[in-house]
Amino acid sequence: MVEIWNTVLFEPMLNSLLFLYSLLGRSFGLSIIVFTVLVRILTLPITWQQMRSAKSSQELQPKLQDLQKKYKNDREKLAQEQMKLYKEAGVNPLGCLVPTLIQLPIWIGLYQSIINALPNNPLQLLNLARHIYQQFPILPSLVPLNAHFLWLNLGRPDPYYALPILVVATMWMQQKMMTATTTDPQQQAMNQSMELMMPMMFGIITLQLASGLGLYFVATNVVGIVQQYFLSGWGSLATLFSGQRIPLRTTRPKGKDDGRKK
Amino acid sequence: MKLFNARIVLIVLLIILMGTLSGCAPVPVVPSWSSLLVTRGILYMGSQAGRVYALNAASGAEIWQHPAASEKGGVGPLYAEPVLLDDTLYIGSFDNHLYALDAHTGSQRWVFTSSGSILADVLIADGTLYVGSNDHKVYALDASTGLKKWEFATGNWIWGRPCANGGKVYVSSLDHRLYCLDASNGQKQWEFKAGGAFAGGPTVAGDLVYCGAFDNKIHAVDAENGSVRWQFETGHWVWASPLVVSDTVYVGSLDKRLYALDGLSGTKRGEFEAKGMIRAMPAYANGLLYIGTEAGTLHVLDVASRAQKWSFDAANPILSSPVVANDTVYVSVLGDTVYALDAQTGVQRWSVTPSKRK
Repeated sequence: MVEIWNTVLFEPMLNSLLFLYSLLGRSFGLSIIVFTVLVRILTLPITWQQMRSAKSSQELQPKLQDLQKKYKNDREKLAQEQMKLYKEAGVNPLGCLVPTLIQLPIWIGLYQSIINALPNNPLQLLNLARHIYQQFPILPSLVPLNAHFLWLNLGRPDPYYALPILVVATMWMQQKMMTATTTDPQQQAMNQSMELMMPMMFGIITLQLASGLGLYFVATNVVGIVQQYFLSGWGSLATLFSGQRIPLRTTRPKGKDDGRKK
Repeated sequence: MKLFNARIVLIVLLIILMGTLSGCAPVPVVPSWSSLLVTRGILYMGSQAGRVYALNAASGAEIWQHPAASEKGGVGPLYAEPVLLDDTLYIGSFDNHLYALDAHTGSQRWVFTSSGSILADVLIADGTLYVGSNDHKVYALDASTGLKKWEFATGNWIWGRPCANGGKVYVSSLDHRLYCLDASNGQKQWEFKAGGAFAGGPTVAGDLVYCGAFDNKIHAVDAENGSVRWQFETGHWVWASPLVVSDTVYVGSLDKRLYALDGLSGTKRGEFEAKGMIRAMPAYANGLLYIGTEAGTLHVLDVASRAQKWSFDAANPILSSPVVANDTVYVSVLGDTVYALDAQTGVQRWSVTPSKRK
């Protein structure tokens, strides 16, 4: 299992990073950024599907809430009706999870690559020797890599905490853009907690682990922001910057149509 | 209640990611391989936990340890081979210090502090210690006091033991360069640049300096001016320091082969395929070569017949050089276990893991 992982994901990623390092003036930071952009381009169809799925799911929320209210005492019927609604709207409720599941190994593989490419003791360097493609003579001669990029040592956490802050800020922006505006107070509260929780979690990860991974998070968030802008504009972020407040609905309108503007 | 709350699943996935990434993080204590010195019936070794041990070479019984057993913490992990001058033992540590210890008791005599970890073995020549550091510098120290005589800065870490000959010190660095320095003041005489990093130390013999590099080559350069005499290409990094026996250079490569080369021309005289990567310099005694591998096998070759005489499989990788003393070969494996084997037959005499002894 480990060998399959190494052959299929870890070693190609590690050697791609080294190859980019040789092309980009021996800057490992730049190679992480360029690698991230390339990965995002390659996974663009999946990401696009994820974004569309998330958007469609949000648009269905009012109808789903109505169903919950209508069938609050009959869980089986509720499940049937919800599935029916998803089917009619052409939305896969797992649609936004599949891309995340695909990205998860990429994150882990990239982190492994960064840590292994920047050894700071002989045992780690010996481990790296097992994974470098010897058939490309340029790659083995690059070691040890220059781990410095801007103020960072990419193999270690950021001592000034600037990178975790950047990760939180860019991820929050992306989350805010992905979230549709809603007048439902319950949904708004949930959105707000999600918008904060996810970036905070990634901020904590960045705080503790190699800053090379944090650089990847920032780069991938920035690319995500650009992609999201072309899909749905600034989203909730626009409302925030314009100073508009979304009125909270205290009572739900009766009937099939909840009166929201589509 | 919703049929499926995708966001909750997403949070669970992120928690899994956090756990996985934390698992990938480097362990706080840097593991190391221990290197051995056997002299006057005593085996000296460093350990991962940062303790220096003196063991009875005949039985493996502990004579002393530093810091003392009563002290909870050790010094930083120890890669370097201890070296002895008179009754003082010297060893560098991952905690940036070079320790000078009383060889009889293990008590500390002096300590020298650099700005980086000291993983390199110490060279002693004419009462002076020469040692490289992860702060990219090589230091010349007075052996009796630890006072610095001079320092020379290279462009990267120094992990190999320097070598000296005729008033010159040869230092290899991971900055891809081999430096020749004046032993008295550290002034650079010449430098040689290879296509890859030098992680192992150089060996000087006659008028040539031999050193393996991460460009997969063994380089032989003129000791006087640094000009290339010959180069020999292997299939992987050459980390081990070359061993010179009469006019033959023996050098191991991470391509799992030990090469025997003509010292003057670099022509291959023979090669031996081992079970694993060869990281450390082999040992030679009484017509036999002792080669440790990362697969945990110690191969013993008869130099005259070029045949394997015997082999020994340890439980863990052998990443430091074996040591032969009298009729015993001593091997340390990753995890700090030391094996004492009959040098002629490979029969195990004893083994001990000092750090796990109660």
